[in-house]
This record gives sequence, structure tokens and C-alpha cells, in this order.
Amino acid sequence: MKKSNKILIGALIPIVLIFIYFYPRFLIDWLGKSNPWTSYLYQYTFGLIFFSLGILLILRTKACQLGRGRDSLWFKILIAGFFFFASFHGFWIFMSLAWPVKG
Amino acid sequence: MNYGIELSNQSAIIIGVVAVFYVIVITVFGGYFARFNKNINDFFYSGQRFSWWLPAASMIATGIGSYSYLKYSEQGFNSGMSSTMTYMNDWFILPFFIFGWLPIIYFSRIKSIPEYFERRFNRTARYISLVIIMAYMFFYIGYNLYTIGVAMEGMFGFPQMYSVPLLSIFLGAYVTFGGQTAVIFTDLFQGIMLYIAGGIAIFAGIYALGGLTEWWEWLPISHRLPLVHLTDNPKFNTAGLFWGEALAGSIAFTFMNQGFIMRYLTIKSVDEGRKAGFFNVLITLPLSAVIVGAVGWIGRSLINKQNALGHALEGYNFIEIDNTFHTFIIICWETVHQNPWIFGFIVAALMAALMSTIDTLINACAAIGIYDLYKPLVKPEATDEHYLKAARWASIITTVIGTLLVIWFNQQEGSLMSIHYKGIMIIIPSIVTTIFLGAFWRKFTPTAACVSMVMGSAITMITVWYPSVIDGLARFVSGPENGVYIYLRALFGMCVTGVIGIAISFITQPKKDEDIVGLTIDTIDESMKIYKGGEPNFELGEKILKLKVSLNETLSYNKIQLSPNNMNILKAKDGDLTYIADSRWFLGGLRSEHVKAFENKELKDDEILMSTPTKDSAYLLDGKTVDVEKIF
Repeated sequence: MKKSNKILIGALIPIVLIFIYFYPRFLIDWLGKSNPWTSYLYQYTFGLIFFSLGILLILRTKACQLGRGRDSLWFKILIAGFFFFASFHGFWIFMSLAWPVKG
Repeated sequence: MNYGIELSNQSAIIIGVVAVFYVIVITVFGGYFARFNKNINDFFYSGQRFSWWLPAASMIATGIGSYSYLKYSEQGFNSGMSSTMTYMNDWFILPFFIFGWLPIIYFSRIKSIPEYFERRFNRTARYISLVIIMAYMFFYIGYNLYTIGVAMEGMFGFPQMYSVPLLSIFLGAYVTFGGQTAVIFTDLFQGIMLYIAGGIAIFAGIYALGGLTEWWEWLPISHRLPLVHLTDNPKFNTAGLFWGEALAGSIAFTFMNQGFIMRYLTIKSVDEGRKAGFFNVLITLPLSAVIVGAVGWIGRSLINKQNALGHALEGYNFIEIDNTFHTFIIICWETVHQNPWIFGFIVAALMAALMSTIDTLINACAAIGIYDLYKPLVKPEATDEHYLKAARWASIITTVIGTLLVIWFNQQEGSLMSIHYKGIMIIIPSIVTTIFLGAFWRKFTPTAACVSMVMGSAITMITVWYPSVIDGLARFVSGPENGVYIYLRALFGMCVTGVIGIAISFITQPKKDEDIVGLTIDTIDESMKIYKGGEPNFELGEKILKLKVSLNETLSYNKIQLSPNNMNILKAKDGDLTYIADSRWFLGGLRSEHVKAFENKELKDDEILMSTPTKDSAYLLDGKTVDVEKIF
């Protein structure tokens, strides 16, 4: 393993662990456990971390080489897809709360 | 159990006739594809010849099991639209799959996941993984047969001891003769069937409610939300679902489900596999989430409206759901006005869901049986004909074992859903973590892989009796701390396996770099060179359509010749890997082959030259034109 990779991994692991511990506590204090946005931010923030680790990995190992074949296209779809799902779920929560309920 | 509906004898007969007719049609249709199996590569991988859309569309039906309609409608009724969560949280793992696992297995020509374990680690790892993967797949086969048996018994009073073996015979028949090609084409057909039947059920429910706006407005806010409460429900909560399902479950389904892996390996190229992967997560899964869960959401809205009005909806019976597991059956039966023909069609869809999931698993188990047991241990050197016969016997044996497992499921206590999750969440964590570390960390050692798989599985199993050991982890991720760990058990198992694996890797010797070329993410480039047999050509060319086939018997097998102009359009150099296929798109590559292209200056631009063996191996027909594209 390259030295730069070792340093990166060595720094990332404790940061991610500390974040996993403190972030949900911050969310619960801020919004409350029952707030739908708490679930949303929990899923999409941790999801973003995991997703970003994947992106970092495929770029650093050169499994994805932007500019080679269709790699750039697939890479753009990957990024766009993440934001599509995040926006879609966000809009869905907004509509659920904003639309009046009968009965 | 009568599923909350009363069927007259006449209705039961009509529903039964529709369902049996459907099963027979599928069996005959699947059996037709036996002619496309010349060897076991055809039988299990359809010769890696299909366009992306065919396996992708067929995955619709594969991903929806017979339990899905019942389980997700119940979930939808109880917790609302958050029942879609398990189908819509797979994007996070896609970078690892699209650019990592898919090219690894494709270019290294892996035939089964246990084979990957032997090549990446050692033979011991192969057979440990084989035991775990077989447990996972047989669990699914038995579970699906069991759920449909329970449903048949509940609705028609048809005892499981007759319905399950009968269904198994039909299923086993077409998988045994038609192989993977039959599985893909029948699943494509069944996927359409599932969507039509699900669509009818949804339309009938929305119509009964008075339209989409009525449905949405009668739905309480808690049931409209796409994500469930963070921790409230011990069996269904966002924190647990994220760690246990979005990560562990999705990785398991995508990385180690031999059935799905084989589906990707039938596709003509990695790029097309990526298309299928994106399509699956972006379109298929969300749509499937609606198809299987919507009846539950409609049921909730309908009951709310009915209760607020104080009487049944006009033209319908008053609907009561005492046991929410029956939601799908009751709502469908009532909203189609108890019409046995339409309801029979919906029951046939349940059959389709069962058959399409199990056929994939039977074929996958048979593949492991041949590639990991029979070929390496029993008969290493035999003819293709012999292995094809053995593959068919393997399919039969798999079907019989799956059927016998129904007896075991019948002896289990607890709801169908708890049996399902308890089983899966115990089986998957250790192997998923080992695959992940093996593919993405070059220094992960064979000893570490073997020890972490065994110890990870054992410790995860222990948590069933001592769930309190998960408390600390649940507290750490702010998940539910309730002792009813379902999803967090998977996270626990993954963490334990990961820690053991990493620790042992630091004190043991990894495999030499040259022995794991193509098996880790940082060696995919070398793997591509080996796959092609030369330097890959990434320059993007265009597809050439409708070329007339001319025969020249002096050309070697699997070589074609094209005019210089066509080579230029393809951006191909001599020896580049190309793909020829019958021009009729709807065949999806059923008649196609991978070949090496060479330039021939005497050829016209509307012509392609090949030998008869090449034409035959592509199943091309006389007088039909072909399309050509460069792979790389």
C-alpha cells in the first residue's frame, strides 16, 4: 500500500467513527427522534459517507478512469443518482407534511 | 387460516384453473429454450450473450418473491409508504459494485462465488463459503415454497404436502431442461405478469377510493412518509434498516447472491452489465416497491375513509382486516368485487413471483453443485455433454432438497417475516464482509478469510441467544436498544468479522500479488488484458447495423472479417473483441456471439465474413442480417 493511502486510511477511520457516534446524537438533540427529517438526515448523511468512500476507492485504485471509454458517463450517473434519490425522498417528506389530511 | 376471505366452491375452482393454466404455460414456454444449451456455459450463463435489458427486465420477477406481496402489503398497511425503504436504499453501495465487483467477476471469468474464494484465498475458504452460500440459497428456496404452500392452504384448503411438490415438479421441469436461458425468458414474461397483476390490484383499490387524491388525503402523515421513525419500531426502524439492510442486505443481494451474479454474467459486456445495474436500482427496485406495497397503503387509506364515513364505500363490502398479514388478499378480493377470474389472475401473479425467484435459485445452486463440487471433486475431466447431463441432475437434486426444506420451515415458530429475517441476518454478515475485504483490500490474507468467516458466523449465531451483546453497538450508532435486534445483528456480524479479519491479516501472510491478478479492485486493468488476450482498445466507436452474412470456411472459429470502412466506424483494430448479433432487437442477443474482428479490404460495407462454426455458435439464421459492435 502506498504511504499516502496509509495516511489517508489512518486519518479517515477515527474521523468516521467519531462522526458515527456524535452525529445522530446531535440530530436527535436538534430535531427530536420522531421528526421525519431526523431519519432522512441519518440515512443520507451516513449514506453519503459510505458512498463517498466508494467513490474515493474507485478513483484511487483507478478502477474508474475518467476519460477512458464510458467511465466518465457511468461516474456522472453514479453521482447524479445519489442526489436524485436524496432529492426525491426530501420532496416526498415535504409533500407528506404539507398536504392536508382528511378524517 | 383462511386469509380473511370466504370463497365459494365455484370461485375456488375458477381461481385454481387460472393459476394451474398459468403454471403449465410457463413450464412449456421455459422448456422451449432447452435448444439453446450446447454446453454448461450455455446452460448456466447463456454463453454471456445477452443485451442488458433482457437480464435487467428479468430481474424484476427474480427480486419479487412469493412472500413479497404478502409481507410488503402488511408492512405498507402497518407503517405506510416507508415499506419502500428496503427497495430504495441500494444506491450507496453502487460505486463498489459498478466499478469494483462487477468487472472483477466478469473479467476474471468467475463461475461461482466459492470459485472466487479459492482463487482469491485458498480451497478451504472456497468450501467454507460454499456452505454459507448454499445455506443462504436453500433457505430462500425453502422459504418461498413454504410461503406459497401456506397461501394455497389458506385460500383453497389445498394441503401443503400436495401443493408444494406439485409446484416443484413444474418448476424443476423447465429449469432442468431450459437452464439459465429459460430462467431469463420466463422471468421476463413473469415480470410483465407481476406488473400487470400488481397494476390491476392497485388500479382497483384506487378506483374504489375515488382516485389518487382521495387515497393520498385519507392517508395519515405517518403512512405517507418515505422513511420510518429512527428507532421506535424494533422490527422496522431507519437506523437498523440503514446498517442492516441498505448496507449488509444490499451488499449480500448484489455481491453474493449467486442467482443475481449469474444474471449479470449472462450479459455481453461489463458496460452493458453497468446499464443493467443502474436500471435495476433506479427503475426496477422503486417500481417493484410500489407494486408489492401499494395494496397495503391503499388498504390503510380505505379503512380510514370507511371508518370516518361510518359505513362501507359505495358499491363495496365493509372491509375488516383482523390479521394484517392477509391485507393483500383481502383488499384485492374486495376491490375487484370478488371476481374469481381477476382474482385468479392475481393469484397466478403470486405463483409467478414464486416461480421466478426459485427458478433462479435452483439454477444458481446447480451451478455451484457442478462448478464447486462435481467438477473439481468428482469428475474433473469429462465431456461437455456429460457436464450438461450432470447440470440437469444437479437442478433436480436442488429442487428436491428445497422441497424437503418446507418440512423444516413448518416446524419453526414465529411469523413468516421473523423467520425470514432471523435466518438471513444470521447467514449473510460474515461472508459479505469477507467478499468485501477480499475484493477491496489486497492485503487481506487467506488465513484471515477462513478464520473470520467461521468465527464471524459463530459469534453472530450466538447473538440469537444473547442479544444483549449487540446493545453497545446499537448505542454507538444511536439505533434501537431493545433486545429485538434484526437488522443490527447483521451490522454486528459484519463488524465482528471485519475486526477479526483485519487483525489476523496483520499477523499472517497475504497471497503474492501475481497470484491475485484480476481478483482485487486495483488489478482490474490487468484482468481486462487477460480477458481480451491483448491490450484493450477503449476508443468509442459506433454500432454497425444490418450486415449480410457471407461464409468463408478458411476463417478460424470465432473470427470475422469486416470492410476497412466498417472497422473505422467501429474504431476497431485487428484482433479487437467485438460482438455480433441477429439484427432483431427483441431477441435481446439470444442469437449472438463474441468474436475477434479483422479487416478485409475486399469486403463490401454491407457484408460480414465468418465461418459456419462461428455462425452456428451464434445461433444465426440463414437470410437474417446481423449487427456488430466493438466490446473493447
